[in-house]
Amino acid sequence: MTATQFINPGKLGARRQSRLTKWLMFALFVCLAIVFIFPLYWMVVSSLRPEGRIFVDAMEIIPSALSLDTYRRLFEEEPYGIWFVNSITQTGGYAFMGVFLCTTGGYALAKFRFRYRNLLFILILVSQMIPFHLLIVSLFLMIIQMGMAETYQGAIVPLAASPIGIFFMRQYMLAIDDEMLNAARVDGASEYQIFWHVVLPNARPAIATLLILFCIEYWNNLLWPLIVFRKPENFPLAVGIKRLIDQYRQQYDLTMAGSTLATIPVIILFFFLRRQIMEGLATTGTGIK
Amino acid sequence: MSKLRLITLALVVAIVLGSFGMALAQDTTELSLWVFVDRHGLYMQNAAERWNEAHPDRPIEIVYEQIDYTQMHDNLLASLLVGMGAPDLADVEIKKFATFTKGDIQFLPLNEVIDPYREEIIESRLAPYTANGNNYGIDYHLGAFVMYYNTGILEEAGVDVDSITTWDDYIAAGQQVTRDADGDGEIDVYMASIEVTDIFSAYALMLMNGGGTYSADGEIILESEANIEALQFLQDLVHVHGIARPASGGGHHSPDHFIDLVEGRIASLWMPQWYMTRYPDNMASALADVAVVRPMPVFEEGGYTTTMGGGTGTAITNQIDPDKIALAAEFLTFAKLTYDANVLLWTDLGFDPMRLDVYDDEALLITMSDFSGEMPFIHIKAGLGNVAPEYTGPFYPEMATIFQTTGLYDLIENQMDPAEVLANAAEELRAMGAEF
Amino acid sequence: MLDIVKLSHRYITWFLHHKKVVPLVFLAPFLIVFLVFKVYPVILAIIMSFQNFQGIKSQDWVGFTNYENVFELVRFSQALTNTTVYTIGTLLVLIPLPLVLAVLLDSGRVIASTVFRVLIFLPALTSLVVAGTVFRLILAKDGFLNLFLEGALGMDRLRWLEVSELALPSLILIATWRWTGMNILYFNSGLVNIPSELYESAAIDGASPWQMFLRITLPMLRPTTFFVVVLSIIGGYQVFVEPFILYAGGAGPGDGGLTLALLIYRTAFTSFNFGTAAAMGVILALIIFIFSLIQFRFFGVLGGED
Repeated sequence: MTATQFINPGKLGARRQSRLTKWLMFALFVCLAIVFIFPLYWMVVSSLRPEGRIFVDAMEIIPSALSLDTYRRLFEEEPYGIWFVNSITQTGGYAFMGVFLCTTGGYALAKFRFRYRNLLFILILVSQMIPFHLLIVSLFLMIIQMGMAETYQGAIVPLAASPIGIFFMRQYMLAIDDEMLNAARVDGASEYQIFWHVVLPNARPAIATLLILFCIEYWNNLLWPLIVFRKPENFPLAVGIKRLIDQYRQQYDLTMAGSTLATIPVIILFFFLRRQIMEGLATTGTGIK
Repeated sequence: MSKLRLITLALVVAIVLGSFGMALAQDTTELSLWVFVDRHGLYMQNAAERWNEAHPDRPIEIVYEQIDYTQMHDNLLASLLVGMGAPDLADVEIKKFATFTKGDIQFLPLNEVIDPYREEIIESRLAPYTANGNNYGIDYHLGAFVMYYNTGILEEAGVDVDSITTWDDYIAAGQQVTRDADGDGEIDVYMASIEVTDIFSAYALMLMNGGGTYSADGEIILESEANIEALQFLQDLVHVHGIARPASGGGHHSPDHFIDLVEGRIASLWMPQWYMTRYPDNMASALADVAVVRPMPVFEEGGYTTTMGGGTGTAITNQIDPDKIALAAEFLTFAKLTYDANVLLWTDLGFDPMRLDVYDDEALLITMSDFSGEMPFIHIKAGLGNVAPEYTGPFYPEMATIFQTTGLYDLIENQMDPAEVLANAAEELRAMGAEF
Repeated sequence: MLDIVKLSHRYITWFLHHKKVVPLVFLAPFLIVFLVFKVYPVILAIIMSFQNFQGIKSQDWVGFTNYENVFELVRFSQALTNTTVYTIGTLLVLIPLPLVLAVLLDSGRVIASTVFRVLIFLPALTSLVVAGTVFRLILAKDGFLNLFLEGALGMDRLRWLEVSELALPSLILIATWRWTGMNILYFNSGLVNIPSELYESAAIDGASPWQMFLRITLPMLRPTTFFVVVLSIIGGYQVFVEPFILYAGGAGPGDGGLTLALLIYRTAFTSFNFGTAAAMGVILALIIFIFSLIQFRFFGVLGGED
């Protein structure tokens, strides 16, 4: 067997392939899948090891002893429940605000002509390339001066004007039929009525996709909330989990339990909305940062 | 009629209670405090309770927040820069302190309130929190270096822990202890582990050898002969004598390192006294039967017997309500510098006191089950004969960062010449604007 | 009185529905947040990079001193090298591997290809905090990876977390785990857009699968590839959370995992040197900006304008 048989880009399947090739291919992907799933499995297994065994039992792929003790400690010793609720609230707030800004803004960029429109669009796109670390100090000083440190607004608003989000909505809005909008105008509908009754219903799939992507993005975000919040009772999950490993206090058992619980909602969401998430990510190209 | 009376009575009671409550609320001074170690916050709250018993006319309430190490310092720095959002009192770790005393100092000097206690306290403990002759912070404890031994391993190798008094003894013992226990051709028990990603192992030797970062008069003395010798000694422990190895995971707080200790792969290590709390906290008292503390080995007779490591100074920020300043400052000394406070520091918190006069108090002679049922205080006290002072300055945080990141790594892993390691560090400090 | 209210109400209504005002109303929410929290901080940071910033009340103009300082710092060249090596490393792995896997998955010759696509994609859903901590366990000296290398492959254990030479490989390993599935997704959406007629006519001409891959698939995937390349470069140069978590707030042994973003963070908050940190931020932005310009040219986002 030669390598060329593996690399068949055609969708025709014109060449007959041996059973062997098929099974080898299958085996290859099974191995790959195991490699990629393993760290997640390891996270779950590590979170279930009895206290103090996490490094000692590293050779036990299938654990000999399981314990939910770490989870109990996670809720008793750390305000994990509060972090969870905070994450949900902040994520929801961020997603709704981000979607609102990007939908209205994207619509304006796609369907109206005004001066400096293209310049503005370019500026927005260019801003996507600005590293967050350039902003971090000035943004931090700003939110303290504005009294927004330690608040949900402080964590949410500075991130809400997502360049990639508005780009995504604009591209989607471009495809909305102008005839439809003009027909509504002829019928005497105001611009706002058109937006509400014609544009929004038509953009529903895009809105849903963006909402989900924003949720995942904020849920996993660390850097900015880490800087905004210092009181544990305001932390979202990522910051709370990060807090468990400090230079002088590294609690990997609690971290694993916390990470497992934080990852589960995202994976559940993913399995329900797999198509939307994967297609949305492929089009926006944001990745999840 | 009776109904009316009842109402009247209720009103009167309400008014009396209400005004009483208001009076209370007016009198209790609330002080906000940021800490990065929960023990510190609790300690200050307990101190407030004792204060309220002693001064019922001026009650205090400590409201503290525990924020993790990096984040607390970052947030505090920014809040001070911006001029709002900072607490009344804040804990600042020794490696970070100088960052806060650059430029316009945003802490209030504490000289006057410290003055009455200067005689009793180990004054060099104030040095790290001092700038331009002003004391800006007060530490919680002394943090004297001690040697932590695993007597189980030593006895197996036929070494009596009390026979080690000099570093030469230590090396000789180390050569007996360090061995390949399971016979697979690789050494698996070492006399010592040393830190490569933190400064404690190296810095203790530098200070005890008379070196350090700054001299008493504020000069940077990084490239001094004393420092070169100390680092050479550390390197030799690893590469010439072969009795020490870098801690797993790089430092003495890495979880893999705690496993090494528990599994009996490390016979000893030197860390400040507060590392004692790691035995119950991080190792679940697994070494309770074999762990002991002893004074540090000395380089020579009459030389320094120990030095101080780490520490946290509590400072009063300039964002405190001016009416509270006097009270806060007095409370700070009450909580940290009074005799009783220093006794409680050991008996309640397990930290070594910074007042020398309490070292003779019998209340401190308590046994500890985590340390083989011994009275560790006897050994800590025995080591305090000649404490090497530590002086810090504006570039101390940068020095610590250089050592933690590349300096010790070059020294131990790359076996770079100590003089070169120090020269590189000095050059880097100069590039950052240090003049020396 | 009532009339004035009515009148002003009417005026506002008229104003809000004015042809020139409507787009502004739609744009305003985004624009305000964008200007205040994106544009303004950038300007502030650029200003700060020319100042000796010692607090709100004391800032002196120092010209290009901060920039000169940046280039004098040994750490900066180290961080720049590390970050560049990391970025190139991720490119070398995260372009060919997902491309080949995407092509295989798309070839119709893999049973249950969707399942594999999903499984390989799952890591992309985890937060970087999770990725960092899990790999901290896996890479430990007695961790799983070493036991695997030793037990299954008979290799020596490696000190992944303790020697600086292995810091970047460790970080690239994490990136590979996390982003392979995502990049497969990108390539997949590129593959879907290749018209199957191309393959059909090539097959009639007797082209081998290998030839088809080289002559059709690769050239047709060029825009996607470029897009992924530039995304990787932007992401690679900004890498921060992975080393931050893996090394519990540090940058690894001997600063082997020190990235530009970590150095900026350290310069600002450990050294109190906001001016120099801002200057580094500007330099980092310029590096990324140059690559982004290339992206615009090749990917043709701007070409798509009206």
